[in-house]
Amino acid sequence: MRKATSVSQFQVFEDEGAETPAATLSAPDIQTSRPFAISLRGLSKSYRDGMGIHHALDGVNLSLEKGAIHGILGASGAGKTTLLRCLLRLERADAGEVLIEGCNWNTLSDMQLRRERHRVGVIFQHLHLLASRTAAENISLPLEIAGIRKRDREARVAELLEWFGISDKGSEYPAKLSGGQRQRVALARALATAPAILLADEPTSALDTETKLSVLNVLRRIRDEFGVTVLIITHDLQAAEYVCDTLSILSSGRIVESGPTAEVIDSPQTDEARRLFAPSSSPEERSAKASLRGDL
Amino acid sequence: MDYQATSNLLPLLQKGTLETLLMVGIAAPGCAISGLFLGLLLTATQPQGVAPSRVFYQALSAFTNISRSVPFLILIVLLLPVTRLLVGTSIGTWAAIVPLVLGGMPYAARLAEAALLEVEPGLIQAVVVMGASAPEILLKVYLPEALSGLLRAFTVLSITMINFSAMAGAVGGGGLGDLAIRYGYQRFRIDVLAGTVLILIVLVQVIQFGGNYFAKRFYRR
Ligand SMILES: Nc1ncnc2c1ncn2[C@@H]1O[C@H](COP(=O)(O)OP(=O)(O)OP(=O)(O)O)[C@@H](O)[C@H]1O
Ligand SMILES: [Mg+2]
Repeated sequence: MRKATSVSQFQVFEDEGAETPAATLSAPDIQTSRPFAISLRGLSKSYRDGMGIHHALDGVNLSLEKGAIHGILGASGAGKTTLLRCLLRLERADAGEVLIEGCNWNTLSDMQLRRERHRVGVIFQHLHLLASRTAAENISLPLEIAGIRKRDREARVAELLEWFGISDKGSEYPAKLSGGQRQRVALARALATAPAILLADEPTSALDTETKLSVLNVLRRIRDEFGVTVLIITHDLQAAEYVCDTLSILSSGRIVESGPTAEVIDSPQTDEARRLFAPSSSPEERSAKASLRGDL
Repeated sequence: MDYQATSNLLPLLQKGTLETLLMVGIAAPGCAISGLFLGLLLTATQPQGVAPSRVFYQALSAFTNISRSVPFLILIVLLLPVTRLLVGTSIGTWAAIVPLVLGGMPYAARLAEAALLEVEPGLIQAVVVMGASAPEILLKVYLPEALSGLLRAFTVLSITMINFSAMAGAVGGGGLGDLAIRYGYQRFRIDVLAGTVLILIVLVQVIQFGGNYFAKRFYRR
């Protein structure tokens, strides 16, 4: 059962009484009654480098349920950026499939793909706001691209500015905004077309602890109030532990573990995962984590 | 000796200045518009561009490189038939505008391309994932984001056009450069030479100042 919450003319769907969200390693059964927000099946991508062929993605299988906050955690060079690029079809994978809300992105024509893209909002590490546009005009951009009428665009932008508490900043250029305000503008822009999925690429790296917490809390509020599925791709264990319902570990282009966050972190099954958690086992880090949890 | 003195300094300078302004005033915007168009095509079709096309890019790239490697004076001569076709004559100020526009166009294209490529690739990617088409990205992102850089490029282009127009004397195009050669150099009129140089310095200063002003106004980073 789905409940439609109307946000002006935009429909945001929420799963009613959703069960505990799950992320599974197995390829999903197409017949399943529970469609996934994102399904990756055997996603592979190799690059030719000096020494031969490097498998940046080596058969990634992953199914992410709707309505949850999912995290993909990986060390440097694990293949996070490659995964993001292949998932968003910024790059074609060598093999495998990407299903977004049940729609196979591999088989879409360029025009179909452009339309489907409105269903996925992306917030990049470096935000990438247009310096030539005000905050409001930045948020309006995806709506312009989606062909929304000017009056509806303005209403939606005002609504989002208000939701993010930056109504007074609409006519400011990004250069005049604080880091936190810029982050909110970027989030508002990513949510403008009321996407079903919000993808966050390293949303917390290079942020101080306080800003980091507020960004993660906003992500949680977004999930709760807009009902979007959130996927965070990061190397920040602390952030993933704080906000993610499920956690998947990416190592050498493979998903080696996947499951509820606490389970994966408390009892890692693979050496790769253990190695990834090891540096954070120092007493200081543990207490830092404990205090983070306390803030919940 | 005597007939030189009959040519008064001020009318000469006035005529030369107007001819230069006419040539640059038409050639610079002409180059800028056509160059911007080519620059957008170069930016879009390059391997990392929003509409990559190896063949198209290589062809366009080769065209701009080849036409830029022909010295302007030789280009004027090569373009004589084209000029005659377009303006009916191959002599005079209007005739000089044709090689100025065609010669400056590939240069303007490269200047525009360089300014457009200053736009961060990450920014383009962010707009691609919004579902924007290639023309939308060019018009809504590249152009406005590169505006300040494009205005600076236009400033450089206009100043270069003044230099180029000095060679227009070869086809009787007139202008300050022509004046400086014919009176200042060939007839030893130091006053004409000094006058043209002074006016050229002022012109370049004004263009540079104006260009800087507008580039700064639209700089939002
Ligand atoms: N365009 C490319 N050409 C060649 N090799 C590449 C390319 N992109 C990525 N790689 C290689 O693929 C592997 C995975 O890279 P990727 O950028 O996806 O890692 P990452 O998890 O994002 O790392 P980081 O946290 O450092 O950003 C690396 O070994 C990298 O060298
Ligand atoms: Mg990366």
